[in-house]
Parts: sequence; C-alpha cells; structure tokens
Amino acid sequence: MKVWVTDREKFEFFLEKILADSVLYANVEDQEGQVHFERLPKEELTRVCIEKARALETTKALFFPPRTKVAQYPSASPAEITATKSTVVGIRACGLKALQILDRVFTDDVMDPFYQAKRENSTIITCDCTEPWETCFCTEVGYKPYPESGFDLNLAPLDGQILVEVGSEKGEALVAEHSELFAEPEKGLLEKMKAKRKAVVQRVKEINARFHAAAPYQEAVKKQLINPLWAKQGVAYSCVECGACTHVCPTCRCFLLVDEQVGDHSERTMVWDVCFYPGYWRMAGNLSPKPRLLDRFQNRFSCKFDYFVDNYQAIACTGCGRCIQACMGKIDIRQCLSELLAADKTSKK
Amino acid sequence: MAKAQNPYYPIETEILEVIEETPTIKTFLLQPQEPIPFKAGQFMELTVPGLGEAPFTPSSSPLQTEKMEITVLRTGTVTDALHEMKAGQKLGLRGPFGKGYPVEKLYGKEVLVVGGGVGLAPLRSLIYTLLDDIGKFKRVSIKYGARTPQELCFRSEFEEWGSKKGVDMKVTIDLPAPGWTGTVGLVTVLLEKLNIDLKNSYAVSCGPEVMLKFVTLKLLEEGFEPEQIYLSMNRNMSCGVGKCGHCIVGRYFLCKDGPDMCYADIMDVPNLFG
Repeated sequence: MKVWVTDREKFEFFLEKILADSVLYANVEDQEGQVHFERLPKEELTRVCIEKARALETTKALFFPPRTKVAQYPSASPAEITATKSTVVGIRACGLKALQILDRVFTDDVMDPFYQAKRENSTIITCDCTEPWETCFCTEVGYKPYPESGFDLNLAPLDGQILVEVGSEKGEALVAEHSELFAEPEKGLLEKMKAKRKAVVQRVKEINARFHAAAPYQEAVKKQLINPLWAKQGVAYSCVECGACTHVCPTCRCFLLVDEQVGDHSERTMVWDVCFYPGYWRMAGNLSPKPRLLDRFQNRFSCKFDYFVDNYQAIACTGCGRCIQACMGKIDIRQCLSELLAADKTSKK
Repeated sequence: MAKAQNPYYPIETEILEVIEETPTIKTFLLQPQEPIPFKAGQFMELTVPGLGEAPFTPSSSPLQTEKMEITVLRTGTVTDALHEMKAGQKLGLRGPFGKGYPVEKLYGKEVLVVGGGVGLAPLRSLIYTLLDDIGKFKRVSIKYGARTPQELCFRSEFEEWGSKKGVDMKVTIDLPAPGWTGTVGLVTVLLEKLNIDLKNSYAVSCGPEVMLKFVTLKLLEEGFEPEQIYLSMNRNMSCGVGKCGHCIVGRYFLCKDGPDMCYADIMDVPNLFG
C-alpha cells in the first residue's frame, strides 16, 4: 500500500487533529525503559512512544476488558450497545495478529456486540518493532515483527523520520484529510526501511536460535502432548496455576458470565476466566472433566496449537512472549514447544 | 453492519407450574415472554435472577412452542435455588443453543434411547419427537435406569410410551428394592444381547458421564460402530455461543457443535469422560 513520510512534530499535530472526536490509547515509556500501554490525555502527545517493542500490557483488555457488564434485567428491552471512539497507537504486529484472532472468535456466526462495537469504533495505528525483547519469538510462530495488513496506518521510525504506511480506506481518508502533514518519501527511503525490517527479523531469529521451536506445531501437539513423561519431568511441572499467562496473553479469551443482584435489578457481567483454574471446569455435583493440573495445562496447549487451527485456521499464539515474562514457575513456552517438536521428531525415527 | 443482538440477555420467563417428579427432581413448566422454538436436544441457559445461569435441555415436546418444560435435579447452587421457586415467580431463558439430536438421520432406523437418572429429561423431548412420527422409524427401544424406584423420572408416562406400536420400553434400578419386581442392575444390563439389526441402528444416550462411558463400552462390545453412537456430553457451558471456552471437548464446542456428539468425532479426546 501507499507509504508517506512525516516527522515527529507533524505526527503529533496529526494525532491532535484526529483526536478531536476520540480518546487516545498509546504506548508510553517509563523511567526504567519499560513500555506500557495506557490511556493518554491529549495534552501529553509528546509521551507517545513509537520506538522499541510491544508494551507489557496487552491491547486485548481494550476490546475485551477484564469485566464487561453485558446485561441488566429484567427490563423492557436490552440496552443499546455503544462504544467510545478510540485511537490506538503503538500496537505491534503481534498485537494486531492477536486482534485478528479475537475477531474470528467474537465475530463469527454469533456476533459479540460488545467486542464488535469497540472494534468498529477504533482507529488502529500500529508500529514496526525496532528493539525486540529477549522473550519475543514472532518469527518462530511464522509471523513478522512488522504488520502487513489489518491496520489503518502503520508507523516505521527511520533516521528521525516516520514512514507512514496506509493499510485501509479509513487510514487513507485520515491522511488525505491532513495531506499537508505527509510527503512522498525520498528515493531510497523505502529500501532503507526494508533493510531495517530485515535486520529486526534477523535479531528475533538470533534471540530464538537456541530453542529450535519453529512452527508448525499441530502434529507434535496432537501426538506428543499426552506423553506423560513430558508432563511429569518436563516444563509443565513448575506450573502453579496462577493464571498469569492467560491474563497477559493477547489471544486467551475465556470468560464466565456472572450474575449479581444490584438493588432492585440483576446484572450480568462477563469476566475473564482461566482454564488452569479447577473451578473453570467444575460442573454441578462437583464433577470435573479435568481434575488434574496436567489435564488443564495440556488443554491450553491443545487449544492454542491444535483446536484453534482446526476451528479458526490459525494458531492462537503470536509470539509476543508476555507469558514467559509473567510466569512465576519460569515456564518458557518456547521450551515447551521445542520439547514437543523434539519428541515428535524422535518418534518418527 | 446490522445491529447485533445481545446474545447474553435473558428473556423473562414465568413459572406456570412446578411438578415434583422424584424427591430430588422437579419439572418446571415455563412460559417465556416470547415463544422459543427448539429442536429436541438443543439446550437453554436458564437464569435464576441475580444468582446465575445453568444449562438445561428442555424435557417437553418441541411441537409445543408456547410453553416449555425443563426438568432439574437438585445438585448445586443454581438448582438449589430453582427447587425453592414457586409458580408465578420469574426466571430468565437464553437459547436455544446447539445442534440437537440428528433426528433425520434416524429415519428408517432402529433407535436405541439409553437414559440414566435425570438424563431421561432431554431424551423425553426426543422420545416425544420420535413417538409423534413413529412410522418413520423401524423401532424405538427405550432403556432407562435409575438408582431406586423412587428416583425413576416421568414414571407415569412409561406405560403409554411402551404401549405404542413400534416402541419397546425397558426399565431397571441399580439395587433390589422392596416392592420392585422389574429388572435390577445398571442400565447396561438392558443392553445385553440386543435383538436388533445392528447395521441399521443408532444409539442415543444421556446420563452421568460415568454412565455414558460404560454404555459406550457396552454398545461397542455389542457390535455398534462409533459412528452409530450419539452421546449427550456435559460441561458447564457459560456463553452458549462458542466463545467462553468452558465446554470445549477436543476441537468441539459442545454448545455449538453438540451437546449431542457422535462418539466417532470425540473418541480420540484424551480422558474424554474425565
């Protein structure tokens, strides 16, 4: 798609203009160099961080919050579902892929109107990943550290300038409306961007060279996951069922509908749930189809790397590595995948 | 884009009557604000206002569209509260969800309906469907088991079902009981030496998962193929629309793809019956 060039000052001016009727969510860098994803007042555009890598927090929570009130009853009719317009700056390719995966779950044959309203009312401005974390592994799951489609605009910072790629009609209109802020890139600039992207791909591959955990995974997960040796002596052993990995995961989307009495009416709230928790599976009469932690641990792998492929034609992992950073048991998903792949390879010999 | 409906919003429903089936099972005759057409085997999410939801398959005939019966065993938070409720009180309903029983596939076949305990409730909806059109099926054999004579559900209807041409009705209880002269033993005893045309048969079963397990093993032993066995699988469904994840069995969402699953589709799932 069409690529334009701008600079930081003009980009902030552009943001100010398009924020007239929407709120801003963006990546910001803290004093320790950590990147966070947060709601930012329009007066603080200088804090918007388009460099470095993905934020610690996942953008999932913006479209699928930890708690959403989904019904108040009884009432004459269900309330109308609306969402505030938002502009989201700083999602990386991994986060965007995750949203595209959530789209398939929440907007398939039965639409989740709460998710859909938020998605429809958002403008997505993604960024190239320039400094991947040690836990990043997007290249191993088959993705790239820069987005290729699904964004409205994508930003690639380069030598003090910003290359702005148009990814949708909405993005095209936004640029056209403020065309004075964008120029044609000079000769050679696009090639430079491509070279920089290639270097980042190389960097992510180097980070992950020691794991040998490249996709595809489905066959290995199908055949090796029930291998009891892997579970008893391997990486699953240190799981403490805290649920941190599912909370930070940009594609984990399990939830529970919870009802409460509030004054004279009742409310139904959709809350995040965790398939590692025994209570997640509990049925009436205290029966459970997954009584052991091992069963539940395996379920998460099967869900992401096997069932998802059959149901939605994609694995539910984008290589963001947040689960590796969050795990209290020091479980590295790359190590898990690597062991499954190795076991599968051995079984074929 | 068309304005999407809210799939989580419950339709207000009045309890018209509460029927005590057994000391632990009650049937609720319900009238939703708007009719909810369903197919036998499809399930509803029933809301006890302010407390929570639980999934139940209606036990009434799908031909009766204005009202709906749901039969409930008292066994947990929602069902405890339900059992305390009286005619005139309000509930909520969402649904129907799932595919329901593959009734058309059963045309011209021998249908073996195997139920255990309150598992006869969803099957009753199927039985009404089959009996209403009995000429379309070669034979319908109902095999039902409960722990004690007192716990037999819909007992007053057995005679009528069994007297219909083309229907064979057999009942068993787990252990001998005073006054009981019928068969004693788990429901699998009714599956011994089945005198049926194996090639032209289907079995449909609903009950506790441990029962489903042994019914399946027995049917396989008797010569059924996995493709001929349909099981009503149980999980704690929450959303009903294939999103929340709770009812996943292998790659299938029971709420969307089931809850009645062909055994051939799920037989490779590790620890299928927990």
